Amino acid sequence: MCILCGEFIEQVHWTDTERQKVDTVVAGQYQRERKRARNLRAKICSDILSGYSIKLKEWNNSKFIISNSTGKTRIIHDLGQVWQEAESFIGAPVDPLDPELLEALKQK
Amino acid sequence: MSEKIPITIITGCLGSGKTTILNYLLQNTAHERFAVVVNEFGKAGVDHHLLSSSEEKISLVNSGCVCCNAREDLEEELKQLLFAHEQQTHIFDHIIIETTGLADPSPIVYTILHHPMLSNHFSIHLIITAVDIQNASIQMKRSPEFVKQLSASDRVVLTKADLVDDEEKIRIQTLVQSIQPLAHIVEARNGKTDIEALLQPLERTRPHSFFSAPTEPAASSVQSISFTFDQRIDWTAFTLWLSMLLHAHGENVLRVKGLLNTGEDFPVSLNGVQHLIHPPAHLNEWPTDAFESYLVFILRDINPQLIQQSLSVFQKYIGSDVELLEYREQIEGSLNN
Repeated sequence: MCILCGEFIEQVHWTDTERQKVDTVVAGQYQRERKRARNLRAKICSDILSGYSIKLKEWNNSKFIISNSTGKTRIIHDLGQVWQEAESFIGAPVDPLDPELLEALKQK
Repeated sequence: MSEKIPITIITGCLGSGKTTILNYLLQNTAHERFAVVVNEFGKAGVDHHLLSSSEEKISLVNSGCVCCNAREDLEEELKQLLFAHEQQTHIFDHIIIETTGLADPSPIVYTILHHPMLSNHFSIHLIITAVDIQNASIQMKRSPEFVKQLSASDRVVLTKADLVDDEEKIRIQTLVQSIQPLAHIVEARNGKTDIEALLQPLERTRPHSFFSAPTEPAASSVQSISFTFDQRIDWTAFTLWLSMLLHAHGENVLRVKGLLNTGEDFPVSLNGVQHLIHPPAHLNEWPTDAFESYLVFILRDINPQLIQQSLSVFQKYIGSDVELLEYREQIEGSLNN
């Protein structure tokens, strides 16, 4: 359960289950590492999605905020939802095999 | 909390010998307590009568196949088993689910991995596919489910191996490997098989048939490609790429499996069937001498070279050179010729 918004989190997305030694991160070193990883994830996502004018921001160590240049904004929980929301913003899935996307990323 | 209870899924086409294997397995493993869930297509289940000679608790999931309408039944059944286990009325160490011949195993995996309660009590141990050696080539041509079952599996049992000659056996083995290069192949003769080889935990070493080239193309548009990474990869960036790929092409990525050096002391083992990725596990040690990451994809209707291009563009995020290790192409319908 997320105590901030009361949302019931039924499952952990597989991309968030990496550190098996630290099931529950409370404070300290791992918390910092987790934050760093989340920031990095938001940064790379924004980078990939910049061609679609979509940005991803980390929020308070618990959520991500995805928004586009027209101001559409959604609060999301994990990577699974990033691509889902990006798809609903763009109207087509973000396809890592799409030659245009790859070309745009190469140019960066 | 105690360890999760392992679940083994036995799948395979109709008449491929799933029940025979299960029966043999139950009769010949004394040291482990099994609970069995049999999933029958059609109202009157037959299989549980065949199995009733064993002393294990056998539950029948009725009315339809696990993959569509009866998924709640499976959920219910597993909950009941768990309840009995925790009440200590019926204790077991291992659950075996036998699917119908028509079932695609990935919804079962989905149910177990994604149910908030089941996922905390059960883990998928192995997916075993029974392949009828006599009918394999026909089934491969006619049944898309069979290809799914094969690509999802960790072990393949070639049943009725006593009925064919060696030449045919090798031909079928190659055929199976061309679709599923990752699985270990075990033989069953007269319903008897090497149980130890069948049930041993998923080894984290490289797939044994990794470098052997296929001599015969399979009858589907299924292709596989393998990569190695020579440096550590950035886990955050990599998972981002993979989750994006699965979101866009999940149903055509039949299998992804790999062992990745993420710069920590030990590698991360990755295992996924279609949209579903098992929770990635840190291993306690590197299984081979080399600290080298590898990644294998089994793909349907996706050009593997696109994956390679995509990976090399994303290299600047992932942080390691991607090297192509092996690429297998299978041409559609070539078996017909």
